[in-house]
Amino acid sequence: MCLAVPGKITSIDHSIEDMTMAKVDFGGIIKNICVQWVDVKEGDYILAHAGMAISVVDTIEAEQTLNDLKQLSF
Amino acid sequence: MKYIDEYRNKEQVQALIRAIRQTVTRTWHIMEICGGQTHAIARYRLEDMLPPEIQLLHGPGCPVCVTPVEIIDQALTLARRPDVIFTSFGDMMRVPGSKKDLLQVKAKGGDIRMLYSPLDAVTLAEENPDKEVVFFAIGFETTAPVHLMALKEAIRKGLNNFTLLTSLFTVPPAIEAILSDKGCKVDGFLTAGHVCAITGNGAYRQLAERYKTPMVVTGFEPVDLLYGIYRCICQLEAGIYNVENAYKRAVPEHGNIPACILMDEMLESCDIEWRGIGVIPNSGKQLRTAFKKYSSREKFKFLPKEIRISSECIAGEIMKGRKQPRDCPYFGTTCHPEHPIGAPMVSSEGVCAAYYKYK
Repeated sequence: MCLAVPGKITSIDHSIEDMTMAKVDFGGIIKNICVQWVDVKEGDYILAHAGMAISVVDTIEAEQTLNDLKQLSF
Repeated sequence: MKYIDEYRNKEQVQALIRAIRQTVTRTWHIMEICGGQTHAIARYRLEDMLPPEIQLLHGPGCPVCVTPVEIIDQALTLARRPDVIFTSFGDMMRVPGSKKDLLQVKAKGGDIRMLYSPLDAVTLAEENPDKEVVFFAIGFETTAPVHLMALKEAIRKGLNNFTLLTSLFTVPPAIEAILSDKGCKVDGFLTAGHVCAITGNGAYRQLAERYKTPMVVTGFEPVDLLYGIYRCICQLEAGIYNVENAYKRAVPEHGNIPACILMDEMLESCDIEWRGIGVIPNSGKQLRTAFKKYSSREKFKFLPKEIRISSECIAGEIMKGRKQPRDCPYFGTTCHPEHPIGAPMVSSEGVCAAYYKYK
């Protein structure tokens, strides 16, 4: 139920006040997602839940976690 | 897909299993809270890969499962009305009320629509001014602000035919109820990553300190889950109990501030019954007085109250971490996904349904 899926923002529409929408690419499927709560630009990855972007994927932290995991691969 | 495939990597899974094996020296009971995590654990057979010392317990974090029968009956009553378009996430369609489920009401002609987002229900209300549009607003902190965003949009559009039938739960009081229970077996928690993406980690710091129990913010892919388990075991073996974030790419320390502000503005805490567990004080959320006219319960005052059905299953014991699905005599016999008796068999994210499908 609390599923949130990462997707890449392809365009942003500011035309509705307090309801910024974006076209988001989820591995080839494009959906309209509300990005009102997050500070994003085209090319950013967000986590979408029930039509809302709840979080921006932090690419530096993602890289850091993968590096931390590599340290375990002894 | 980027940010998914890396976290389903087989070599990485094997490396984490090795690291866990090398770290663990005794039995530890770890509870994941979220139903999405329970589902992924069963789907990827993670329990089969872990050393026997690591016992996973499966918490109550599936809102589909824990929505009480009384609220399901309210939904069914509304969905039968000819003046209502009843809208809901698809997960709720087969959840049994005291007599029927939404799918049966739909088969009898109820106008029930399954939607991906509550925002779509606002569009529906705009397009159908002669109908009352009700959205079945279930969920934890991840989903609650999305319902509120829809309500804000309906208010902005001046719609008077849109209401929410709320069934909203919060995680920290449930963790506290589990930890303060006399028979509690839980040594450490994996907290629900997407709940924390909204709320941040603050509430868990107090709980970790008070109950001397480590809590690791954890994601949903197999590598994320094993990393969360690994970090939790590192703490347990070292005798420390911090809140640690093992899902930093998605969860900032302070969460999603606009979403939290929206929840503070529009919702207040209330007692709520968790199906299979009972009432947990202050664990629910309801619309504040200023927004009550957008509550389906206010608008349709005829709704039934206090319907109780006897339950023979051990759902509550399972969701508190005291028992496993196979301990239940009904599991897989009279209780199965086509005919659920108890809450955790209802949704695919309920622990019994996940065990039934994958084990």
